[in-house]
Order: sequence, then C-alpha cells, then structure tokens
Amino acid sequence: MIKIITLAGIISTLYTCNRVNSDLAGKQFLEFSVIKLSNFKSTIDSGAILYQKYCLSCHQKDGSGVPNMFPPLKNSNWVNGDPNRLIKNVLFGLNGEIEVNDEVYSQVMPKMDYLSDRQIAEILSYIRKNFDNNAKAVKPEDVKILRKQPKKN
Amino acid sequence: MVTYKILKPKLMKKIGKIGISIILLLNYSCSSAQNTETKTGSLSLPQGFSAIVVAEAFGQARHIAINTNGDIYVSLQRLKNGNGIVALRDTNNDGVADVIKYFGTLSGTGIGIHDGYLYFSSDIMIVRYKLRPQELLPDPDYEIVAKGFRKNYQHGAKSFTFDSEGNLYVNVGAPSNACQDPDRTFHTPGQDPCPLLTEFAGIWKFTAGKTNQDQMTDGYRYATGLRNCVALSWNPIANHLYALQHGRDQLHEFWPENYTEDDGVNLPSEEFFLIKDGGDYGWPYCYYNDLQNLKVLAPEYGGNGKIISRCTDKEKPMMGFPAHYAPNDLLFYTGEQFPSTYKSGAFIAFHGSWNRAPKEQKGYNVVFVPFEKDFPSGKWEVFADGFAGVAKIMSPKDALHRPCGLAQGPDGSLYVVEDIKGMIWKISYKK
Repeated sequence: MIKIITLAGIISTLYTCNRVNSDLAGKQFLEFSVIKLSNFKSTIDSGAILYQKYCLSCHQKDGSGVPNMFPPLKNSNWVNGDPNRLIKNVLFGLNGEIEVNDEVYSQVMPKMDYLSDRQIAEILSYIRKNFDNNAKAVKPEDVKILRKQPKKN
Repeated sequence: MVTYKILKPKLMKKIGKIGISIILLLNYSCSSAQNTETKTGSLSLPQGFSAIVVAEAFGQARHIAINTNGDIYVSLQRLKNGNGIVALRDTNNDGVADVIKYFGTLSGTGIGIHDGYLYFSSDIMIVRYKLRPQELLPDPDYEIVAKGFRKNYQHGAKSFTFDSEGNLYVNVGAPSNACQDPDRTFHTPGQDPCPLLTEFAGIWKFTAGKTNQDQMTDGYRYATGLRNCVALSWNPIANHLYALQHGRDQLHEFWPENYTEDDGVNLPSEEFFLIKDGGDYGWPYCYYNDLQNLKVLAPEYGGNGKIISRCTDKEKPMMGFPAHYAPNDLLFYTGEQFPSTYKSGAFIAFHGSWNRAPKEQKGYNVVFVPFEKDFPSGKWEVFADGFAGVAKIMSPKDALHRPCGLAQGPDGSLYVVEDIKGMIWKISYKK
C-alpha cells in the first residue's frame, strides 16, 4: 500500500512539474519518464498484489510453498524455465504428480482461467523476478495465444 | 508502601512503573529459567516432564505404532530406498533406538498393531503383516484387509483405528476443499447434493480380521460429512470413536465479499467430534465457527457467515480448535506413568497451519484435553511445544519439525513423530 502511495506521489509530482514546465524539451522528457516509470512500477506492483490475492495462500509469502503439499516457486526451474509451460499451469491447472527441486508434489493446482491475460502475465512476471528467480517477463499476448489452444500440459 | 508516602506523586508513578517492569522482567526470567530446565530435545513441556530423541532423519514419517515389547513402527509418506515402513528397537533400554530397519513396499499414513498383526495403509488399501515373536521385522508378505479406495491426491491418507470388538475404522477424506467443481475456484457454487459423499468424506467400518474387503461392497459408511479426519481414535474407556476434522480452506480467497482476510485466517474451527454411528457432521454444506458456537452454511451453498439453514441438523463438535491447526493424530492416554489429570484424556498432534498466510502460521504442537467419561472435562492446553524450532513461523517451510503422529509406549511414555525429516521424541514424567 505504502509503495502505491509513494508511486502515486512520485507520478503526481512529476506530472505537476510537467504541467508547470514551459520548456517543450523538458516537458517531453518528463512525459517520457512518467510513462516509463509508471509502466514499469505498475507491472511489478500489480503482479505482487495479484500474487497476494490469488497465489499466496498455497505458495506462501516468500514463495517457499508447503512441504509435501504445494511446490515452492522459489528458485524453481518450473518458474524460471519455459514460460509457456508456466502459463498453461495457471490457465488449465495441474493434476497428478510433478517433481520440483527433487521433491514430488501431487496436490491439485486449480485452473485460474478467470484471470485476464494481463493479470496472468503480471503474476508470472512477478514470480519470475522474485523468490530467487531471474527470468524474462511474460507478455499478455503469450497468454492470449495459449488460452485459445486446446488444453495440454 | 512506606516509600510511596514520602515521595512526590509523579515520582511515585515513575518508580511504580519501573517497579512493575522489574517485577515483570524478574517473572519473565524466572519462567524462562523454569522452561530451560524442562526443555529437552528442544521441546517445552509441563513441569516434571522430559523428552529424549529416539531417532531422527529416517524419512518423512506419518503415524507411529508401538508393540507391547517396545518395538516401534513408523509409516512413511514417501518410500525411502524402496521401503515405506521403519522399524526401530532400543536394545539397551536408554530410550534411544539402536536398531533401525526398513521394510514394506508401500508408502502411506496409517499404522497400528492389532491381534498379532501390523496394519498399514497406503492411500488405496489397508494391508497387514504378521508379526513374529521376538523379531523386529514381521513376515515380509502382506495380506489385503480393505481395498477399492479410489486414488485421490488431496486428503488421500487412510488413517485408521480399531475398537475393542474387532472392527476397523478408516478415514476416507474428500478429494476436495468444499465440493466445488472445479475445486478451489473463485465464486464456484458447491455441487448439491455433493456427489463425493457416497465414496468419500466419511469414516468407513470394516472387520479387522477379514481379508479382501471392498470399500463400497463390504465396508459400511459409519459416519459422513467429514472432510478429512487424519486424527481418529477409538477411546477404550468411553467405548466410542472420536475424530478431528481438517476444516475447509480459503473462505476469504473465494468469497471476499463476506469474509475478510482475518476471517479467512481465523475460520473455520478445527472440530473435535464424538463420532456416532450414522452421524452427519456437515461437510461440505456447513462449517463450525467456535467464536459463535454455531455451525453455519458454507458460502458455496449460499452462506454468508451467519445463515444456518440446513446446518441445524448437523452434528456439532464437542470442542473447537483454532482454524487450520491441522490435527493429524489423536491418542487417549491409558498409561499409569503420567499424573492422574492425564488419565483417560486426549493428546492431539497438530501438524500446523499453511493457510493462515499472510499472517503467522500456528499449531505445530501437541495439546492435551482432559476427559471425564465421554466428553472433555476442561479446556485444552498446549502440552508440548517448540517442535518448529523457531519463535515465529511465517511459512511452513520455516518449521524444522511438524508433529504428525502419537503413540503410547508400554511404560506409559508418550511418543511423538514428525514428518519433515522424521524425528521421534519420547516424553516421560518423573515426580
């Protein structure tokens, strides 16, 4: 919440500066900065908020999962690896045994196709940049393509 | 008091405050000193009790059974080097196991000794191994006692108990949270009637001495409306079956309009039941709110936290425990070693929560409930704590140990087993 308020503060300050500044070049620069900053911050922040709402209860605040029940997202090749596999897990869910970081997990992962392409992309981008993971962001377009394909994992 | 009279009021107040702080501090250090004295094997126990570690790091243990000669058998959730049962023996009477052997090709939760056999359950069947006199390992070939349980990954543990008339009672948990289809999804209504109740979400009764019984054709559904009762036990003194249910999850996540984040953390209560033949305990239609002492309608069936509706007819618990504590074993104490207050009372192993996130996780302890005849005669209290090894558990992964099984030794000691890496504590009492 504090992060959002701070971000809103920065944006509004920049926006105010932008409006009072009569120099055209400066105005363009500030407009550019505002757009860039808000795009970047909002993706990370909304990813974190969506994670809290839809994923945290099972995968936990720190992405460590629940031993013998729900796999960790922390330092996981399922998260860092093929983004398409990851998108499909969220869209279609998982049922049966999987191996994550040398441990077997068999609980149901519910399908979450009620989330929008953008929401799924934001959640996955968030987990791929957090919990000791470091992988490229996921684009809403990638989710859109897979959503239309027949269910396959 | 004399000092107070000769000093100015403001100063008196200050001194008073400091005094109280000193008293509190002294009290605190006294109590921690007491705790330190009684801590053994990292556990906090009541005065007079002590614990020793019997064995550790032997695998992901679940339940535990102890033979009359003191031999210990532990079920494993996952096979270790191809085996699912650990047998342990203490040959020099120091309480620590010095012989540890593995056998059995199945993994699972339930384990118990009855009529010269070691009974064991995987998630799809109950089997038994013939015990051999003097020998730690039983006959390697098992015979099937009950089968036909449909494989379900969620709440699959077929924990069991025996009555004194040769019957076997088996927990058949629901492969579901609240009978939604699809399961665990936002705003999906519950199936009505819930089709899972015919085959799951109840306790099935079998004949302990009969082989190859099928759940649906030979088994008898003794009680229904029970989401998952990993902790179940026949009480030989009261002569009744008792069980604790793992209450449903995620009220807030799926129904945020009626349940705040705190409601999701604190509801529903984990219920402690006296199980009656033919009883309906309410899952998935109802859940129990111990703060209101009410069984209310689940949101999947139109509930909002207040509506009772069809839940009037459902059996109520004898006692409620805080939400999501995850009761994984129940033991009625029949020994002579512990003080008389413990006689006939119930010990419950709480595995500890995962679904109180993002708040602090709780449980991870063994509690005691005093009993008189059929019912609890007082409030529950924490008996053994400190299993987690950390002061604050934010995620289950923070915990070093999670209590999962209980057994009583021939000398009246209480054994606790945990399932992260496998550790057994023997808790004893000395006057």
